[in-house]
Amino acid sequence: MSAGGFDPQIIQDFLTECGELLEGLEGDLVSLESSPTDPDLLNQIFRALHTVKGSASFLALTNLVAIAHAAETALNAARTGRAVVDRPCMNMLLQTVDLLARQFQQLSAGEDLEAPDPALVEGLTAFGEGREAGAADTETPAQVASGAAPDGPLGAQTTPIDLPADKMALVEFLAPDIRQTLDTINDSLVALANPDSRREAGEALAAASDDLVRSVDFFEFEPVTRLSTALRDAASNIEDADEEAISQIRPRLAALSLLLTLQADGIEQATLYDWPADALIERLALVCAGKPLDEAHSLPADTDAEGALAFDGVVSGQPEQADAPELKLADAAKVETAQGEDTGAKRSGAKQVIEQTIRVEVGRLESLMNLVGELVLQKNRVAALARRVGAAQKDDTDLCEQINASAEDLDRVTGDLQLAVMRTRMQPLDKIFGRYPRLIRDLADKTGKKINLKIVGGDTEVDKSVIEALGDPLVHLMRNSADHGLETPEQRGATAKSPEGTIVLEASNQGSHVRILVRDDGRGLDRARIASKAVERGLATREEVDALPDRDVFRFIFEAGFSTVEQVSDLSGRGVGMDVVRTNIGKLNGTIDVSSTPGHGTTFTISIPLTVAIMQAMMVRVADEIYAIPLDNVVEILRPSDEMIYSIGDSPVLKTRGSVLPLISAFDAFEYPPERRTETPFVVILSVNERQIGLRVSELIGQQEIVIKPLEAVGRAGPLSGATVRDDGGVSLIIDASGLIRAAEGRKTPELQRAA
Amino acid sequence: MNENLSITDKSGTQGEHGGDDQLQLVTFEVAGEEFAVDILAVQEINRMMALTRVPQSPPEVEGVINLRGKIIPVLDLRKRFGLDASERTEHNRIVVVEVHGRVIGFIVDRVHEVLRIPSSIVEPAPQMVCSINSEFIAGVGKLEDRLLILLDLSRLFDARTVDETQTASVAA
Repeated sequence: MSAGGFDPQIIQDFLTECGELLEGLEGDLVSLESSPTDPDLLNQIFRALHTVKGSASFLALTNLVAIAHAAETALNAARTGRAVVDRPCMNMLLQTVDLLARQFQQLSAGEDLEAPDPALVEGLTAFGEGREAGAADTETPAQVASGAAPDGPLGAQTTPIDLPADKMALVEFLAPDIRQTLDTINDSLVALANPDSRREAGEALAAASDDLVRSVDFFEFEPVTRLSTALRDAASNIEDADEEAISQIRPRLAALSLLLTLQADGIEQATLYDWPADALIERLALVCAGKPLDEAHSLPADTDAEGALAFDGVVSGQPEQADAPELKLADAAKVETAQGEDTGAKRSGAKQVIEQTIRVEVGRLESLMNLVGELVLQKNRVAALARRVGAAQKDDTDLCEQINASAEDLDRVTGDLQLAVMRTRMQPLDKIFGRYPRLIRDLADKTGKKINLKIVGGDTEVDKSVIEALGDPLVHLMRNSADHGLETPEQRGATAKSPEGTIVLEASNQGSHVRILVRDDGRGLDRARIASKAVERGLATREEVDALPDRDVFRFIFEAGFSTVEQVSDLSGRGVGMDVVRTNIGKLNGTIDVSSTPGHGTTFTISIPLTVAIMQAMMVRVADEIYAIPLDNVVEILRPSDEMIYSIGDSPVLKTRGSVLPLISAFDAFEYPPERRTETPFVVILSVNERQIGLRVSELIGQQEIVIKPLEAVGRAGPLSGATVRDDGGVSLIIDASGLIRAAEGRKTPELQRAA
Repeated sequence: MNENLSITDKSGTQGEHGGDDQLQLVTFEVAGEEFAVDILAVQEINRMMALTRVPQSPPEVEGVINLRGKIIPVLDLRKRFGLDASERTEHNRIVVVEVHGRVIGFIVDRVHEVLRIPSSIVEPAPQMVCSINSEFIAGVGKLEDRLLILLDLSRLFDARTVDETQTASVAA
């Protein structure tokens, strides 16, 4: 079956909303594993599954509903304390999440949803019902009562349920659903008695009854809908009720709850009950709307649910039936006005809530960001023009000042706007971090290691595009740590470490950058092995490697095809990981570095800009062209004297502050023909991952905010990361410092030959 | 987008269409020959402007320009045809086209006119029509007094440039 016939927009909404719930589910489940009785967590998971199921049943996605329902049953047992989620159960729940994710994909691709594995459904259901899987009594849903049904409980009129086949298949979920919601409702009824917990109870009641209304609505069971709607309407403004009103409300709510319980029983027998509950519902609405009841309609103190049913004429044989019609009329009028106000108030209340967040298509934010980029360029241009006007119109100081003031205001507003738009695209890293507990759990299972994952700083926010691009590299790093970094419990025991290995994922904000650490307390990198592998692969000679400090040797692991692990495992070790990690991080203008202490573990440090679209740059002139260098890469700018520059072998170097840096000319780096070469008196010292290089340029122009534009359309190009439009409208290329450094180093090592 | 580039299709299937189909073309001159491209593929025609040279780019890429905030590559059609470069004159123009979603500019010696011709007078390219590689030619239009060479833009800008883009991005 598919969701044929539904508006694609509705399906899309379902996928978006429930997709978010599903993302959260996985992380919550893994947390649940360490604290299996945490009531908040259990409720949160239960509610998420419940919402998914509810929405799916509206779309008649039977296969999805079936599995969600089974999982919900299992969780309900855990939530009510009848069972504790153990490892087998957790595995089933995680399988459920995987299945749901697949079904979401199928739905989004317009395919039929796969049916859940009956063993999984049975396992979950059995757990929920507290029996062994497979031992299910082959109880078939009660036979549909045929013909003359006996009168229902409390003198109800009965109607057999008659539904189209597709809905009929879902009816069996309704009764347990109602009962589950009723559990919540009954809990909040108790809490309502206490003024301190009244507000909270009201909210819980409102949420639970709202769920109920939605599930019931689908089946168009009029009598059930009436009862649940009454419950919801009452709940939505119960929190303002005073003590006296509560004494009128509680018994009536209890009465509604009782009737709904009976309905649930009835639905299992394929029968609907109908009671004359109008008076009960009206009076309840009145009290909840803050209108005191006539004394004749006020319940005596300490009335229970049954008493309220009798008093309000739901159950026959009560005393005041005689004057009911008259009262009803009077009440009806009041109810109407009361409801008028009350829905009005409710709507404005609801509106406030909705306006706190609003879903926006990413495409719209993208185009907003592009427009802001254009605006920044235009602002730069206006500022440049203002400077020229200032220089040309020396007589008219008033005009100059005004233009300058206006240009400055424009600068400030644009800056604020840029920041505001950037912030709309920011998302907490938890969005990807949330996936890793599951990953680590599975890795621990597969490798037989004990792994404890600590996540710090998941609330750090970065641009959406950065988040998306970070996901895979981080997975690689964590796999690497779990698979290669950490030892088995036995190995750890032998070195007096705790048998449980720890992986720390830590994010922090560093100004315009975010730093992410992936740290493990495993065996650390093996210098000797990496060194011989590097020699073997021709990345460097034995002498060169021996002269390198540890950190430079460790960096070889980021080379393509570099893996020191002989045994290729299912998890990592194919040697494709680390260079992909470095490339992907590099695409974000970020850097990655590794440090390691033998026996104590390895730390990967990633540093990435918060956003990829706009950055500060140093503009430099090379002959007649102007290039932009990301300011993050610029360490220092100097005009060296002749004695600071000399050669080692054929390579020119720059000696500054006691260190010696390779020096390259921008003319060489960017292949200028001899006739276009001029003087290059300035040197810009660039740094990437603490490797430095001096770049000789003709002139320094100054600092400018640039908007990065792709250069892909050109085809192949030199060490450049893009282009930008200058404040004079011309195009400047953006120098890719890491590419430049690699190219310069490649002249000495065979690395570049391989790349070429 | 693909319809904009359908010069090949139109000229290739002219027999079935009969003589009623009209082609609307922009004609221009490169190295003394007259060329034409479908007007639908042409976004705009600009005067020469300052190009920013891109180091280590393919040889026919003259540089990049800022087209209202978008950075687009500009190719020299002479170099693309494997001819010698000539001095720039005031008549040089940059014709901006869209090929498979990519916006590309190319430099021509001068732009002539916008021309409407019946597709029936377009014939497949003979092997040797002029000095340029015949794989770039979609057809030849026989006018009363002269020959028009209809260019196949997707071949012209795809065959090599696009391939190179892909290899470049893989290498990067």
